[in-house]
Amino acid sequence: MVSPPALEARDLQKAFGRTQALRGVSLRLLAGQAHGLVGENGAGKSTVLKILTGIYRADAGEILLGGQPFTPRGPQSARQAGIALVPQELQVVRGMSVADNLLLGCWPARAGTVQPRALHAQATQALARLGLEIDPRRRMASLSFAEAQAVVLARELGAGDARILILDEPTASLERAEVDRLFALLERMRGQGVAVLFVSHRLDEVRALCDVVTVLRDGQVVASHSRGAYGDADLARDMTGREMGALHAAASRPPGAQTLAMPAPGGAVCAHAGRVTGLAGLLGAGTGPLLRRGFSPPAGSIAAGIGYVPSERGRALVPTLSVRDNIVLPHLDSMTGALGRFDARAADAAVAELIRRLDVRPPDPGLPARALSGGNQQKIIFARWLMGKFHTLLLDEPTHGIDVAAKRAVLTLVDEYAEKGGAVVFASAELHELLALADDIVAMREGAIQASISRGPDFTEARLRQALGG
Amino acid sequence: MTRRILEQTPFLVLAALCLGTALLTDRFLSPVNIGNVMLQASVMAVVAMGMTYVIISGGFDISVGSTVAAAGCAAASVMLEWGTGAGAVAGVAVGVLVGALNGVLITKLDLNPFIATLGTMVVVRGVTLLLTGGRPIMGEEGLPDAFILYGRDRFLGVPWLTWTPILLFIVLWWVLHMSSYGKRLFATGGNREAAYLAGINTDRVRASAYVWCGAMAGVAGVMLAARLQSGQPTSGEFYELMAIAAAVVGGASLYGGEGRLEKTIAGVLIIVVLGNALNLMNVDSYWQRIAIGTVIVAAAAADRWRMGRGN
Repeated sequence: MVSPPALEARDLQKAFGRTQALRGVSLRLLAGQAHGLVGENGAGKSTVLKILTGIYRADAGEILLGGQPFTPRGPQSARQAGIALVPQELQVVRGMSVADNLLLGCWPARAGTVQPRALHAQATQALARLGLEIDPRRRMASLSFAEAQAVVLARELGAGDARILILDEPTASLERAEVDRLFALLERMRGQGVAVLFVSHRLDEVRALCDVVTVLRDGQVVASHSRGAYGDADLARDMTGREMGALHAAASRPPGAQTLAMPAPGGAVCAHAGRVTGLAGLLGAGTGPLLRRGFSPPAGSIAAGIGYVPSERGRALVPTLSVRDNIVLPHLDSMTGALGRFDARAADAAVAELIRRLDVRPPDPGLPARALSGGNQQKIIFARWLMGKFHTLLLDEPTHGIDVAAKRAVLTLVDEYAEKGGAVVFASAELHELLALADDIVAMREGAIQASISRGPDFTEARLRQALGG
Repeated sequence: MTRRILEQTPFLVLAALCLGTALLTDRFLSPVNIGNVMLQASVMAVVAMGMTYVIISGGFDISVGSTVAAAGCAAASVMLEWGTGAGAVAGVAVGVLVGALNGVLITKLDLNPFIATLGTMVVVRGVTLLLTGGRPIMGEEGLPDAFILYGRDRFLGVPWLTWTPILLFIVLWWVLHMSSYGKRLFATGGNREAAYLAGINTDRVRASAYVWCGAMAGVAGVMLAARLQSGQPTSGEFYELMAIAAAVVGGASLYGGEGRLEKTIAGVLIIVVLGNALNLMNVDSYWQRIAIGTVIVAAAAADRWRMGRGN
């Protein structure tokens, strides 16, 4: 007698208005197994998660929990049934203690008064169950992201009755060592018979962690692979529906004139015309602040021909403004006519060309920027600096959190920009991107420059990892 | 499609309100009443247009009511000495000064707009009461004739006091929706950091919104003095709340970055017509307050609902 899957979804369908988000998705999560769920933005991953955790209701299809039909009536009912979710954006009360957050809303109380001793005891127990060494009296705000995530994990697992653990992009904000710790934690959960559903953009992690991976595309399951039977290229092909050639492996371009030097302890990071300078560093290594300092003050840098793409799109985009206005925002001075009139015709003409060239979708310059997907928003921010006379681009994690096809588009853009004589400084935590694209790579750790590696026999991931100390 | 219609809500509500009132009472469309509605809406419209600039910039200004009173008293006092023109200029200048002060407090000292303008609201009112001794300013023989005529006469059948917001609307609408400055204002309110990273001097843009708002409160103060034929140190109370309400009823977002000047005008008219309708139907004035408050809450709730529908 084979025991039924811990959770089985059969033929889930869901439509939003006229958009069919899910067209019959089936999924089997087995106890003690880690299951990966991958797909491009908009493939339906988050819709599946929201149905499994009771935030949405499926239009059709059924969910079986331990073989029994199950219809979650809301997040609370899913949690009570043993389905735990660790969302990408952690829901914590930063001003309260770790213990308060662990038992959020179910604090042990007598006659309406919280019992501090019982609270402390239960919190300590919850942390110990996961082998976490965090003082439950600490304020949540003082925790690192990884620690806060572990606390949320402990909270969602409850008193140990969760049988299914769902993690949405859990490693997006983690450093490598923290990822290893999280994976050790997940191994431990698997050992206790918990079924883990792991949603991620990072294919190497999916490959390392998951026994089975399911690929979604356009609201359908297009492939399912067992551990060891697939590679990154297979997943990328399944996700996008097309073969991806290798990136243009840049033959080292000759160094042009230096356009910008950003000093840092241990030397300086320099931008050269016609070259891509990679900036490697783990989270907190100081690559982001270095680029931000290189673009300071913004108005002066823009006037000097330097463009900047911050790591978080939300910091560069005005969600309420139209696509067109977002693109021309740094160029308003040159689009101003008599009496300060905004020259809408000139803006339309310039933007139409860029939207076509970057394949922004939908190609409607009048749409508010917030209506676009993450990858297309990133293209808009890029488009800004492809207008007018910009000779240097500072890019901070420009491929972070966008899907495979958009990533490819961004990398191609950077490559073309350098081919045409532009200078690029490109910071990324994904070393293979840097190795594919950069002419030389500067490795940073703790705010200081550790090494500078040019194309040659030393230009390898192993050498970079060594310099990064990871 | 639904979205297109939702965007026109303020105009649809206004049209329905006017239609309903006209059906319920034939006095609504009488020339005298229409004139009344226009006069009542005129001063409020000027204040609300300035407020719309500040709200779009992501701010808030509750000092405009006090500024209206201060500007009215300044205009009246100066007018008695140096004539109508000088008085009007003095009134507007007071508004510009208060606006500039707000702008400096909010951008240079980085104060919360609510607290900063709460401070100037109380201080400006105090200074006005101190300098006037709390008494209206009208001189021995009243304010100059030209000024009294401005507050009373009509041109082409429309009161001069109503021509003022019409002309200002054309200028302010153009600046807000057609100029590069307008783009900077919307960008700064929509995402200040993004605007800064695009090279916009966001402090200057934000401060300028308060100057516009103060200037409009100054104009409104002069208009009100003309209507009341005196500078009244206690006038203008609740104007700030009505102006904010009008902008919100017109769909401006208190989070900044969103708003249309013509919709603010619709918001002003909704509030004024609602009060007028209840008046004509002899509804207790206490009820009018309850009705207007309800409309404000409903408009804010509709805004949230619209935001929740995606985008």
